Amino acid sequence: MRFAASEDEVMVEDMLDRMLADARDGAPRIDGQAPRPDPEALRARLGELGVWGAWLPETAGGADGGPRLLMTLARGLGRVPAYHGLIGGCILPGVLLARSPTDGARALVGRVASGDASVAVAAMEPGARWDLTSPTLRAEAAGAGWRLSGVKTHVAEAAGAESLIVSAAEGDGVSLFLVPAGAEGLRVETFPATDGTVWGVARLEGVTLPASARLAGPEDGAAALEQAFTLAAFAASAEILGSCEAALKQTLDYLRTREQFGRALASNQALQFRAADLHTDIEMLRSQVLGAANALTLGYTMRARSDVAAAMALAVQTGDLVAREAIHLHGAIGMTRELGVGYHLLRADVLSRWLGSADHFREKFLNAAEEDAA
Amino acid sequence: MNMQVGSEAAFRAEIAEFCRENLDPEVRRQSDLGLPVGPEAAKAWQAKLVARGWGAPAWDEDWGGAGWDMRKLFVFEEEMAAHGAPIVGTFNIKMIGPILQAHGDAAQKAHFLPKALSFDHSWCQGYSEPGSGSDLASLQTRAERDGDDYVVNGTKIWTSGGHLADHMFCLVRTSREGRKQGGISFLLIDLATPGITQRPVHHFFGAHVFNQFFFDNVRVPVANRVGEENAGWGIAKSLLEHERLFSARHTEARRKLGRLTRLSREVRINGRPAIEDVQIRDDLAKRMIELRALENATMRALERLVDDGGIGPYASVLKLRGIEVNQKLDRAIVQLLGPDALPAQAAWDGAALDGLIPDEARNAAESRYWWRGPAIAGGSQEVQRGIITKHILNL
Repeated sequence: MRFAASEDEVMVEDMLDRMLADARDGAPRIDGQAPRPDPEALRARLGELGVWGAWLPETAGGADGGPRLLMTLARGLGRVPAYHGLIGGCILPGVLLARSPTDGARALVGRVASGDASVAVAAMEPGARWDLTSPTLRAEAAGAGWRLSGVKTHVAEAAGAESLIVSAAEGDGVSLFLVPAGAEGLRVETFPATDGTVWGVARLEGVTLPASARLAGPEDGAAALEQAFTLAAFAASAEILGSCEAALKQTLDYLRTREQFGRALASNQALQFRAADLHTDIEMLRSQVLGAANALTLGYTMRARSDVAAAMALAVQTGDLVAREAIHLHGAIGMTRELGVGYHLLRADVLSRWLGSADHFREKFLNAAEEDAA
Repeated sequence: MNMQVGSEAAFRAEIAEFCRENLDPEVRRQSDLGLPVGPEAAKAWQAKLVARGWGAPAWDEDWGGAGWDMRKLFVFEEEMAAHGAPIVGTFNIKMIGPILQAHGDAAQKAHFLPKALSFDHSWCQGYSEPGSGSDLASLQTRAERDGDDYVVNGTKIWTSGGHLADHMFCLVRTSREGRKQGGISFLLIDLATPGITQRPVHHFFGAHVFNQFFFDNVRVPVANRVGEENAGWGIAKSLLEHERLFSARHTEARRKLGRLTRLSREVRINGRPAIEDVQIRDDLAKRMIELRALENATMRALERLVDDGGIGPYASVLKLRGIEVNQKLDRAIVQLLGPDALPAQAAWDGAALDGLIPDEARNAAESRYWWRGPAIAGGSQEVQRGIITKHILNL
């Protein structure tokens, strides 16, 4: 399998870069902030262009674009500061719905793929960090259906979602349920995260659901979540790659033009070497993200899972470093919201806080690599 | 022959089988530990490779090459390293052989190439000089025409394996006009020629690899000049492009990772295998991930090489990171060994430590010391950063 972008991928990349730059340049400056495209409009536009859920299989409303297309999309979104909701609003629900055998899931996944439906995944709980396998939110049989009670936090894309996919303990396993936003006993409150995105807390008090609401039973729920969050981590690593590329490019442009003490900053060897090291780190990240994309394309195997974990471990580390250096090398202007280069740090941080730290992914990597070798 | 996806696996299996059948276990053990195998074992191994047609696969087929494409050459080297084959005769096979094929005259090829292939000659490289450092073109050793000879005066240093060699390919100054790169010629010197003296330059940890050579009115036939007079710089720079992929040194790093992984199961910390220690696990994962990214980067470079015929300044990215990855692996091995990394390599000549410390401890510390060198040689890490700055980032 090749590393270099195919002609189709280059076309998608160009289209995304153009579209995102237009969306950004057309957006209003609010409170002096660097402009960002409106997330709703962005999702709709990406849906119209047919790329939002194109990575999904055709049977799930996608275009069989696979991990390579997902990488291209996420990386492109990373290059322009944008609230896009791809990971929380398309990848997580998309994987879970595509994997579910129920009629409800089949009906919904196509609308998620086209960007017409907004579905959020509520799998994290207070104090549980990144452990998705032992929820305290419980599902109990109630007549022919289910009754759910408990609290979920850090729910991406919860605001405005028409339904939530909620993970719950059922017996010794984890099951997944589709809960309409208007269900009685469900309360969703929102809060802002440090990158400006909006997140939700979902409180369920005796929410009753029909039998058909169960998307995955206790034998499959944890594995389904693992797959969804693996693909989410893969997309996040690609987004951080795009973010690093953009941050370094902006920084290099600045070093070339900004003069201090009568000469361009770029003429200082100390700064040149820092830029060379950042470039080298980004090349390694790019190589690993591509490697993970190719491994995933061949199948959701232990090898692929180890490659994704390696990509995200590197992304968290490199994203953090490149973003900090980009701010510093800009000097005081780098501190401002108006310039906006600091967004890359905010975004890399939020993706890592949400999906896992570098050492979390290193542990995942080692476990998968050991299992792969065994 | 071209490399298809299906045939690649078959080729890898063929190499594995060849190594299993032909590689002496002691030689394999030494090369897995990063130790040189010595001239006799090197010559014996080369004879087996030559018999199989693999002695110098990248050479022209007329001179014993295999006629493989770049992907196949890459797979060959990677797989050989993976199965513990020693790296032998680098200066013969990777340096002087390809240079003579590209730039030598008919007589030079006929005389030198077969002996370079069979290791009847052992070559060393005379480029660096005291004071020239990374600025190689500043070299001062001069060669003046006198009839059919050049008379060579000066000194060469950092000559790896020079004490085991009988021939040196050498850059000498034949002109002081114009650009310093434009006054350099490429000479082949028989080290038995009168006027040559050699002294060892020991590594700080004691190994004798480097040497210094002194040339005092040494007469070298003009017939031993490769290419035109003053054309030596371009010749020396014309290394085979596929060799630049190995700037990443990823095959050596892969061997070190094998050693680190084995040790992490063998060494015990507080009565438990080290691999169960949280810190050790995290460090091991870091090293594995760095290497995996580096290997993917090398495969990307190979793809670019096949597509475009060259990898340009990307080789500097590979070298910069590849050496760091190797150095970190060496350090991790030593740290994991703890007190067992204390004995010097020579301790294995005696029996005092038999059965008391892991065999994998052998040459662990020395490897770490040795690997300070590659960050300085062949264009220091700073020179690589300079190339990235200028040719990739356009700063």
